[in-house]
Amino acid sequence: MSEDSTNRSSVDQSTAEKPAVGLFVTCLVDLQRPSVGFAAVKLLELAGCSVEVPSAQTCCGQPAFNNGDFDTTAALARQTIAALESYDYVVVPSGSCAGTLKCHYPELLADDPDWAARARAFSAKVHELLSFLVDVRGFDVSSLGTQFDGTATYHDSCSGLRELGIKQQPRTLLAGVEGLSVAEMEETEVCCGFGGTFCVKYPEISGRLGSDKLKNAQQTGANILLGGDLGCLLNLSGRALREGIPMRMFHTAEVLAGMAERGIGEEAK
Amino acid sequence: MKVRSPEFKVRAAAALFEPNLQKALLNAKAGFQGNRAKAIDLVPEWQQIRSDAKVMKDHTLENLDYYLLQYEESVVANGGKVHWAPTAADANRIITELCLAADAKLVVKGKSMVSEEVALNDALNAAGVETVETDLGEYIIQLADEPPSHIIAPAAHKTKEQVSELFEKAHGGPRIDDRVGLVTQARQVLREKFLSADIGITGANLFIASTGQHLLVTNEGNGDLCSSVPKMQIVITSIDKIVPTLEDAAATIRLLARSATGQHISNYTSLYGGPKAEDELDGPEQYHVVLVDNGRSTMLGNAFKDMLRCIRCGACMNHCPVYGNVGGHAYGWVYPGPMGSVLTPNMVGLEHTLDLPNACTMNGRCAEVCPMSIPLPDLLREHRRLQFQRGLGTKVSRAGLALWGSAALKPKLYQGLSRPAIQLMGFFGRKSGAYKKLPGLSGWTSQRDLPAPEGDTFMAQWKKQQKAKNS
Amino acid sequence: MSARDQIMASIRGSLGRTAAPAEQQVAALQMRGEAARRHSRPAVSDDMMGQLKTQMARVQMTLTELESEDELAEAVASYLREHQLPAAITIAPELAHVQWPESLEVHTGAARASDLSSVTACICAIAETGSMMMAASAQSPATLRFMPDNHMVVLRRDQVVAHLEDAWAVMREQPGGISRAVHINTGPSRTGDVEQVIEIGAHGPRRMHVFLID
Repeated sequence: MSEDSTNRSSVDQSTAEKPAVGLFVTCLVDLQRPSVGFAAVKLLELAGCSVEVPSAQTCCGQPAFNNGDFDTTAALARQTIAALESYDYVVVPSGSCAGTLKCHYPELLADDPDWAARARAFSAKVHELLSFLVDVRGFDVSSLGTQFDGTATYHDSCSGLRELGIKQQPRTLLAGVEGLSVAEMEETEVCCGFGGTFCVKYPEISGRLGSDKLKNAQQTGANILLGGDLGCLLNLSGRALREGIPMRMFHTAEVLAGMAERGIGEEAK
Repeated sequence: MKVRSPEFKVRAAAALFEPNLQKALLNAKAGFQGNRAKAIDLVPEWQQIRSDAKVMKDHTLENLDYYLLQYEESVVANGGKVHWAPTAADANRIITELCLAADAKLVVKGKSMVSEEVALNDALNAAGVETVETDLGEYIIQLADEPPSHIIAPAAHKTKEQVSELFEKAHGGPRIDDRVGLVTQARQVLREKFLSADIGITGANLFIASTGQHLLVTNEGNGDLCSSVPKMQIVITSIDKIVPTLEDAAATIRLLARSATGQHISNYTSLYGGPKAEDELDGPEQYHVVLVDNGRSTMLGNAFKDMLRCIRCGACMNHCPVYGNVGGHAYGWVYPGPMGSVLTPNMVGLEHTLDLPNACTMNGRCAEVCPMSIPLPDLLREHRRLQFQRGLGTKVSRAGLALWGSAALKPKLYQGLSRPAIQLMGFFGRKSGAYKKLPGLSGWTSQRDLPAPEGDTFMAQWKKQQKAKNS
Repeated sequence: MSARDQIMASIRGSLGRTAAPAEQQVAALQMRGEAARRHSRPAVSDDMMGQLKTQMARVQMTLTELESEDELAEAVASYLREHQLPAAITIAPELAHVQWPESLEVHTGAARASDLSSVTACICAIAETGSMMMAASAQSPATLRFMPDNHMVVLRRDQVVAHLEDAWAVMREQPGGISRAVHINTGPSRTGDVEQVIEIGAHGPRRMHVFLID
């Protein structure tokens, strides 16, 4: 595996040397599955960035935001912006958290004279991980020689898709993984039923949506499901276990970085 | 109509397991989504048409008073009359008085969501005026004594077998089992009603300020029969449906049929503007338009203004994964799905509709397909903000979220507390890989296992690594 | 305070005004109204007739092409025979000048409950959508387009326009101004209200046939 990425893409002209990335790991990755965070760091470094993870970060504020508590969300926004605004880029291994930082922070702080401009400047630096690797760094996964045998299908998480336009990028990256083929499922863009606190407030509806998504996934013949949002993946993996459906699940970053040994919900080896 | 929105959770959960409803929903979804997509694929100019319409409608709403007054002038010049109804009760009173003054015994109705909103049929029936719905879907639910479950396909929740049963009961045997037969019988039964009705009442898809016309679109032609055969024509519509010119109407027409049913244009697209001329051989002798406010003028001045751009196409609910699984009745009132969840709290009160804005995953598909670019998820979130502000919503979730929020604002404390909790959960979950049950997390575990956390937090590990690196 | 005043006050309050728009704004609004600007619309083929026919076929409208109006009477009789319909039509007064054959029973006027077939003219056809636009008047009763099972429309080639907006122009130019009832009909009546399957012949005509005259 090459030590440093030789893919200094002509797209990225921000700095002559290594661009400095501040990683926002997200609460789910931090608490539930740190391997996604480490995979993100590895990929970003291979893509020629220096990566730091400032410690004054916890949660993007989505749970508060989507439950109508805009004050707490704004407070978390200020905390997050203060921790990360000094970097060239702020990269997030989650479409929904990146969407919150990029799209909603500026809205929330639009009427705050001290923070409105800062939030806008911050927003311009925010990228979801997979789209960052392709759109900004022009990263070529095949240069890594990553091997992962199997047929996978892909779930397009809603926020990433609709707030940030993440669709082709994960597929472009996965095409560089040897041994892996991607079989598209029906209704790949339909919600998996996670929806943050929705899944615990309306569990029956959420369960049905998850169930339908897994049916579509199985119909492709794939036994691996990949995505870019840990919330969706936890939801789907939990549902698959409950229904006895054999479907290994990973965050795309883990597969790309060659760190996909134990799938989500699988017992420790 | 009685507001049953407080029962959403229970009715939605039950709806998931009603086989007839699930069959009907699957059917409807496939048709509506597929047909719309096909129609839009044929129009490369779609996004431009969509943004022109948004600009036009925003302009109209900014000048709503001017255009409404211009409309009234135009209608009067055409020989018609405009009645103003600030509330639902006003609308019912005005129309009941018109019917009684005309000594009307039978009214035929075209499909009108505004008439459902004000509960017009109940008011007329109470005054001794028989009302017969003539849109086939509305006729079916009238026979079933049910509210509509979809704004353009009110009987979308009914299977063919259910319709056969209803018709057999209402019309007498023999039972008809094929669709063609059912449609033919409805045609015959309702033709009699058209011919004997005293008054025809329809809604309007929009109305035009400069010409004093209203637009009525149907595929069945029932709206036009209501508007052409009886001696009096009454139109009930709402103040937000106005557009300035015929050209503005054309922009809307292009969006409406494609978004609703995937047609280039509805089968019968009609513009009516007044009573018949003296020498005409048919047509109504009186033309009345009732303009209903019912909270819309208030929405014009608050965070929900964008909702007034709605053209009632139904695309949002056709693409909503929640609506697509629970159907329209669970929402408990006239308007279901995403647009219903924005409107209903505004019209009947947030305190009665707590679930509606929350039963949404924020997936955003509705806003994507909305021809009038209404930011539906943002509006639903605004209802959630108002709920939070007013202290509405379950105590448990508020407390839990407040705890989470205050911990998250103290990173050191958060990291210090979360680490041992995660280590514990990771440790006990190692062997199986996932939890089937966890105290306090039944909302999650009732429907799925909870994958066990890895066993240490990222932040703790990263800190350790950085320390090792720097030492 | 009248109901209208009540609603106006509420609207103006929401818009942040206490009174009607200022003179300058009113002038701007009048100008906008008169300009009647057309918005973005789907392109219509240069072959308007071709597009019209394609759109018509899509919605189960049928078509007979004639070289002149002299052929119309026999063509109508022939259509009725072809569909095994009684040789009886109700026509709009605008078609009373046509030399209908003796064998055909012709009633002129509005539709009667028992009428099975009607014939009307139209004011234009719209290629964009495959629609026939008809304006109600003493010469062309509205019920003829909706009550009978079979509706036949007489269309001249030079009446075909491209877009809805072009049809509005035709509508405005009618003698006597804009009719109180303008109908844009695109095919026989249909419904999808039973299990979302389209069936023809809900309340309006089961057939819509166009005679296209050169």
